[in-house]
Amino acid sequence: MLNVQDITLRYGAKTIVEALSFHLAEGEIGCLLGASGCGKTTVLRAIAGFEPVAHGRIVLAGVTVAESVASVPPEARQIGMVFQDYALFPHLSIAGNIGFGLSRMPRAERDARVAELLVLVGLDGQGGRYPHELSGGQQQRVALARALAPRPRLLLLDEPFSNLDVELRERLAQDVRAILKAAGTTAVLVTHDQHEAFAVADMVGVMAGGQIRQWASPYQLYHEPADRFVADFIGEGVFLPGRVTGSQCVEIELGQICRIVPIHCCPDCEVDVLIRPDDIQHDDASPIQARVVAKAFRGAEFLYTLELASGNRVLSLVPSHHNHAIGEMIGIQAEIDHVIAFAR
Amino acid sequence: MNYNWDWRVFFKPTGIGNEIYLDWFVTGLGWTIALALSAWVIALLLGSLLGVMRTLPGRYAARIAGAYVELFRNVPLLVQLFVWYFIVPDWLPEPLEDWFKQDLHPAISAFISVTICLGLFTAARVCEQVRTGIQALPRGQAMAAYALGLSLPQVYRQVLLPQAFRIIIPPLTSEFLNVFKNSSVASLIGLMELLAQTKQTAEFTANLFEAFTLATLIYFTLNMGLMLFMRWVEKRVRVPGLIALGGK
Repeated sequence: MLNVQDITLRYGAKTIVEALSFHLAEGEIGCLLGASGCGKTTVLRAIAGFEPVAHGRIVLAGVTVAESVASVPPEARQIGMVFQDYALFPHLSIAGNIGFGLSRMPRAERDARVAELLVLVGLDGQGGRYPHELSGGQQQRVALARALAPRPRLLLLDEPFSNLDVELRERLAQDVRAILKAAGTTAVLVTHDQHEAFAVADMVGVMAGGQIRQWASPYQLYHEPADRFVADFIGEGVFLPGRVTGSQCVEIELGQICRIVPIHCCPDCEVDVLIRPDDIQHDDASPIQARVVAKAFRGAEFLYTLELASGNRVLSLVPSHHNHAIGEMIGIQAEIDHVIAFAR
Repeated sequence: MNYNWDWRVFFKPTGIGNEIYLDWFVTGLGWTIALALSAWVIALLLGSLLGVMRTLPGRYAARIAGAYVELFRNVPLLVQLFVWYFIVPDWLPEPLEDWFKQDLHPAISAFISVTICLGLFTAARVCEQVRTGIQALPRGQAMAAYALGLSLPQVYRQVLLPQAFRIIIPPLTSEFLNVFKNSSVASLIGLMELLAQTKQTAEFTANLFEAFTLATLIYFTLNMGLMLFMRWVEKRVRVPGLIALGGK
């Protein structure tokens, strides 16, 4: 459906994005995830047609919409776009905003489509209000409805939740996914927030320095990161030194872990093993002891920072009724299902 | 100061026809209003066009409009008026020149010169205001409209200009009032608008203070009325939150 092939994007002499590729199937939701300045928004604008492509091409539904030599203008691409600041038209009512891209439709049909979308985004009967009368979350829904109204071939969302407060953000992220899936829309989301990416997207590309470091499902990104950067960027965790003791096992300070060790680790190699907070379990009976050096209360659980005998530190998520003081020694155990190790 | 104020002077006959001096002021006010409104129509249309040109993606349109602004903003209004009245007609093709200088009533030819001069001068200022109004809008507004499938003219007509004009109503009001005040330069090329009538009354009657007091009151009342009218317009078309949205 959407095929981004080897694109390079430049501002003047400065290369922002280099040889970036990814692919989305019909109805799939993709996400470009990265820190600000990594080029993710520039990629989105190139897909929409607001930035020229210096190299490579973008193919949408079998039609090349952007190449270095020629490109289809934004207004002819049938792409919907949702912006960080919503970009609602303040001089038009909600219905006027949603129906804005439907000017070629007969009036009755347009009204029906607007009503249908108001229901879809949960703003039934509020078409006569104006953008300034709505809350941030409602404005974002209107922006989504406006972008979906002309039935775009592709929907682009640029940091759509970053102006909302955290609680609303999570709920709206789930709503947006449900709305997009209900409409069967193919979409690309851009965000710096991995929780948003995981909540909305089927496929996520972790971006850095104008390139995609890994393009995979959220589950794979977390449990099978392709390189150190992705491992570090996604989720929390620390690296512990270890040694590969066969194709199945790796030896670390917390004992021998026997699972399939990633193939890019040679036997007997010195490696760094990624330890996630959920890999370390609190177990009073365990012979391995660690000292609590910091703790963060998260409601349902504590995130403990623990110092091992060697002085290395690991993180551990522990149910919050296990309330230990800083400085206390507690028993821990490593329960690692996915061994993530990188050669040193 | 020994001055005998005599407000009855306005009701004295001028000695020309059946007119009293007050009639001169009424005629003058009529010319002033006709002049200012015609010039304003030119300024608003041309200024909007130029303002849009300055924000277009292409380089040439923006440069042409930019050069226009510099030219008309950096030459004094009075110099421009003399160019339009004394010099430009000489450049016209002969039949047109003869028609302008001989066949037309002198008041009409002066009126045409001042209208063009004032209209083009004010257009440069309106242009800059329209440009800032458009540029004050968040970039996403235009992008959102393009993404919804609108062409460039549609984006300007339906999204950018309706918002930009609302934002610039206050400075545009000042410009509108300036046109009325600047129209007084017409008195220097013999058009009998309000200021010229005032001077003439002062010369005929020697009641200088009364004449200029009345002129001041008329200009003030006229501009006050226009300002209140524009304020009403502003309130009518206001979109709450629009100005706060700008610059985001």
